[in-house]
Amino acid sequence: MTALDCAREPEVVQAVMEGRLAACEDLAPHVDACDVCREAVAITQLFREDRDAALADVHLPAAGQVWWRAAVRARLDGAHAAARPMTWATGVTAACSAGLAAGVIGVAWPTIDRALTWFAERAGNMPPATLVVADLTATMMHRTLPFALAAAFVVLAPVALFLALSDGKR
Amino acid sequence: MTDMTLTNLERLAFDEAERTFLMTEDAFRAFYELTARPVWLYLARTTGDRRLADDLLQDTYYRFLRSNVAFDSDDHRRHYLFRIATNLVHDHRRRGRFSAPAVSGERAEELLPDAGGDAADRMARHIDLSRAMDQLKPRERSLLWLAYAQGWSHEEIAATLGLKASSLKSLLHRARRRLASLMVNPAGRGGRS
Repeated sequence: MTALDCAREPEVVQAVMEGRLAACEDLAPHVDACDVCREAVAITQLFREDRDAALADVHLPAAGQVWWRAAVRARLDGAHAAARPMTWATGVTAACSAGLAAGVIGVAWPTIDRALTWFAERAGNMPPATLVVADLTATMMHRTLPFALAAAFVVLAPVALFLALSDGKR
Repeated sequence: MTDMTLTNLERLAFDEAERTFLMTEDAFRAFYELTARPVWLYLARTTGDRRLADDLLQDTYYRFLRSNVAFDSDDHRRHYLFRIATNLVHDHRRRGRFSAPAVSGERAEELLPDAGGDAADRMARHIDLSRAMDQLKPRERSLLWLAYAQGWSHEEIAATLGLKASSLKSLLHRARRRLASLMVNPAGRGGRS
């Protein structure tokens, strides 16, 4: 059975990191005898070599540049956060306006209905051909207008909300 | 006129930053000089992508500066920074912004362009390591890198990766065994076949 861990592993890894494993008289024989530490030494040496070589070739932005970018981004984020309640208010206002318009039409519907009836009564004086067209138009309007208005509200309200709220997004 | 406007904007951003960030610019510069290289390398090795590491480095420091954490010590601050970097890597992976990289010798050379001396041997070891690392799970990469490249203790790694210290030994053991099995030539284990 392979041991999961060795109590001396941290000590061994530290010695490899500091380049003094060979100089440690008590650690070197232990590493030879311990599978866990031998593997840890191999991997640490490999990683250290890889790390040191890569570090020599890293081109990082200057601290001031990172700070400046963070400052500008913080300012933009702050502006977005500040504008968010306004955006929501605009959206809610748009939705309320659409709802109010639908409500007003609903309340005014009896008046519209009476106007259509009045128009139909007056249509009796028209020539027969015109009468048929007017009758059809009046019937269609009478039956479909509430549905058309409701459908328009259902479609337009989310669109209005989307347009209002999308201002806050990039 | 444009210069004046830009200068004003910059000054505004800087003034606001001084108020928003819990660190002065001078303190940040000192901290950045100490930590940027190891953090970048950690990001590059865990993502396998240098350009992504550049982006994530900026993001890491931004989130660090915006964090509202009282640090007990410099070590605590450093571990927190690595924790942010780890979370960013995981977030990017979850969003599918990058897939597990398939390392080629070409990309490995890009990661280690300047191999002198035993250049061929070192390059071979590096390619071998990169290829094996790319086949590991992200958490295994993080564990191994923090333990054997950074030389952190189990407690430090557990705190950084949000793992239980008690389960770290077995996780690290499994990751180490997996890396060794994936490598053609683990260092110090005989000659290259």
